[in-house]
Amino acid sequence: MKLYQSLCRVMLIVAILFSMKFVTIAQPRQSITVFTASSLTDAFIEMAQAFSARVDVEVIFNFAGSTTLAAQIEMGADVAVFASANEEQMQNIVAMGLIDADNVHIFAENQFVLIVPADNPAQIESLQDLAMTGTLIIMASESVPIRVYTDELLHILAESYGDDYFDRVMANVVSEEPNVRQVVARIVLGEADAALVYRTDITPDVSDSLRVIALPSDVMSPVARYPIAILADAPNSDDAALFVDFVLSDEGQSILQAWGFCLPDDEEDEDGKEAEILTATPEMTAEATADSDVEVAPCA
Amino acid sequence: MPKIARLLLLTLSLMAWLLLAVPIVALVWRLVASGNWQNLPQAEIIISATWLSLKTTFASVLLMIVFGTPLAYVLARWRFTGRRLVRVITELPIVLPPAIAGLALLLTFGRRGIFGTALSAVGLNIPFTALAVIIAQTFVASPFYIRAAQVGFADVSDELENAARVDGASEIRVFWHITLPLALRALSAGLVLAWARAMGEFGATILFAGSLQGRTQTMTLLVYDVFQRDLDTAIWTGLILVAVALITLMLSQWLAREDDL
Repeated sequence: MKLYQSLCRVMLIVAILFSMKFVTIAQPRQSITVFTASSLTDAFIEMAQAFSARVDVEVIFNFAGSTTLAAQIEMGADVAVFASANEEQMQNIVAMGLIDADNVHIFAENQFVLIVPADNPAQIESLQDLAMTGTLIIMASESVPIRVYTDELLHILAESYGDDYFDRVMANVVSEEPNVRQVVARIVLGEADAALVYRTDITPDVSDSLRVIALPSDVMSPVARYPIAILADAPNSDDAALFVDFVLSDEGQSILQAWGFCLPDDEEDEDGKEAEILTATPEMTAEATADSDVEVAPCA
Repeated sequence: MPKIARLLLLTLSLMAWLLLAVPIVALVWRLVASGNWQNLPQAEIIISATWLSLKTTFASVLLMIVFGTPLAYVLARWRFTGRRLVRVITELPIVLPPAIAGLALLLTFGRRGIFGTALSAVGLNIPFTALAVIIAQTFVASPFYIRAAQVGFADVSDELENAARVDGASEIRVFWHITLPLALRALSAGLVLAWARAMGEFGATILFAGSLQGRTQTMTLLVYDVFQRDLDTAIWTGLILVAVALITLMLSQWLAREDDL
């Protein structure tokens, strides 16, 4: 019994020490949590490095599909900044009053490309070939933003390729992945024949295993617009605001360009800051595309 | 036992139990509180996924019986060098993260996998089919059955078998009339557990078979797919799986307990 008592005492002490450990680990430096759409992964990791070099703030990321992130924010996740791959999810959060509509900025755009494995087993040369019977096509799940744009694009194409184009492409879909990076992985592994993804998903890591087929310029393909915003009750909101400013700054925008993102369109921006950034960028666009080892069509 | 120690013991064990119990209650509570329990939001996709889960797990269980039973028997009865290694490899999927299992299956049976060229030659493309779902489930769940069956076979006393042999029974008759009936309860308990594990399979399936409604989207994959846009459907499917888990666990415990008598 004596042994038991002392064992209990030891356990109690350990428990107390343990809980103190959590209390006394003070953050060595300030940090902000940024919920980031998966398609921004590489660009935002570089963004955070550049940002932390300027400001002594650590950026902690949660990368996931925008819909997942929005659901997590809705459930009360402790988050300072939300960078979404589509406007709908951002609007949902705004509608819930968790983000002030004035704080939402469009900071990037993304375009579609068609990808096939490097050896192109199904010999796909154009968007029309996606309707060939037996082609293994991968798409994102219906809850992923890119899927909405994909469906939109296929409906647009059906106008020129025939009414049954949409249904025939859909009949070739063999899997609906939970996020766009997994769609790319299927093609990289060569398990499927083709997929429509963002041009930014063709990162240097995977570009060797893929062939990228640019969309014909006369196709009015839908463009994904990326909004970023600071949460209304963001912890450490000053630093969070600094990060958003950095993403919108020339330096932030050139990082995004280097990873294949396009800059937001003039006409759509009411915000003075974004217009300012845009005026400073034409020469950068050329530079970024020239440097890139990724062969994708330049931003339209 | 001093009062303080009892209190500590009670508090810690209560916390542990609550951690296990509260999430299940939360699943039910959310549905009741939201008042959405009356209407099945997307009944047809739940039914489609449930039906697929039942069909594929049934096939997996059949495969386990046909191929797993002989393996369990060999591992329990035969003495050969490397038996320990064979046994460890057999049981590896029990502790292997399912996502790794899925990747391994893809690299084995995928188009670019070890058997990829051979399978393509006979026109077989396994990934993204129900067959891939079945293979994934069998890979992950069969060790539960094989392990239980192995113990069951080992527990049958060889005196009874030898008595039958002395009376002139052939090896096959000994197996069918002595060994199998005596080990049946252990085999069933293992099979029920393995089936439950196959129903809950997620990681290996999503990597190897992908996710497509009606073709490869089992119940767990459905939950993952819809929880972001349709929480009620996800919860409903989840509750069906909780019920399945409860029933199988009780069944397998009942089978195991009777075995002790």
